[in-house]
Amino acid sequence: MSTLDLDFKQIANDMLLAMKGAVTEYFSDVKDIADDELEDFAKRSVELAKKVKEGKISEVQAKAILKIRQNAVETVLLSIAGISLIAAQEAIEAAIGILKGVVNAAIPGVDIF
Amino acid sequence: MKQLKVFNTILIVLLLTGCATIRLVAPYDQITDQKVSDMQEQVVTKFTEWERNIPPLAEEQSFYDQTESVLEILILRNQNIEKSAILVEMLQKIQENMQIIKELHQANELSTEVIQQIKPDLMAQFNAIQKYQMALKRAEEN
Repeated sequence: MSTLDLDFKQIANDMLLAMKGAVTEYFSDVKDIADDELEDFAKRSVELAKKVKEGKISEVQAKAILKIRQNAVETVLLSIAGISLIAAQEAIEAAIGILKGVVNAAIPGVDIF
Repeated sequence: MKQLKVFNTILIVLLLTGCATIRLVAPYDQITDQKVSDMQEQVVTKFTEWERNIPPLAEEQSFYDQTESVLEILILRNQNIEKSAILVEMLQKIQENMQIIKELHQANELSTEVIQQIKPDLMAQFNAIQKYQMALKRAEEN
């Protein structure tokens, strides 16, 4: 393959496909966390309000519980942000992997990476 | 000619970036993963006991000391690892929650009702860290 024979549109498409694959792999992780945890936080906060009304939990306790819950929600959101960054990192590496393949094939015998 | 220019640009970018791996997050750390799992086990066991009966703080001081020291060590360890800010922040959120729980205990406000309320929150925090660790591990294996 010579330099001028390179199909840049095809290379771009291949890079996008590789990136999509990497992102999809981690998307289910993010969805699982969001589905399992975030909905549960909302349900339990409604339950907490009932317990306060019934006098089973004091205002002091409720405030502390809500602060703990806020920290927990933030931890879950941080995890989602972190996994998204991992997905982005993998997507970049997948795209660079395609480019490396093209460059190495275009310059036969010289494996520059 | 235009194609050659594009190719040369790609080549330069690859030469500049190709030698180093792109890193947006710190690599998987087995020690952190293991220590977080151990701590989760300890917290679950303790909270399960406390769902039935909560002894006075003096009797549980070793539990607080143990979790506090492990969290401090893990936070310090990860603060020294580049691009570990997200994990450090997650650990600090657990640290903050353990402090609130201890303060409730000190003030005799830690009841079985409170434990039933907060146990799922703490578990969600540990699970969030575990899922992040699993994703890091998978990325490392890819």
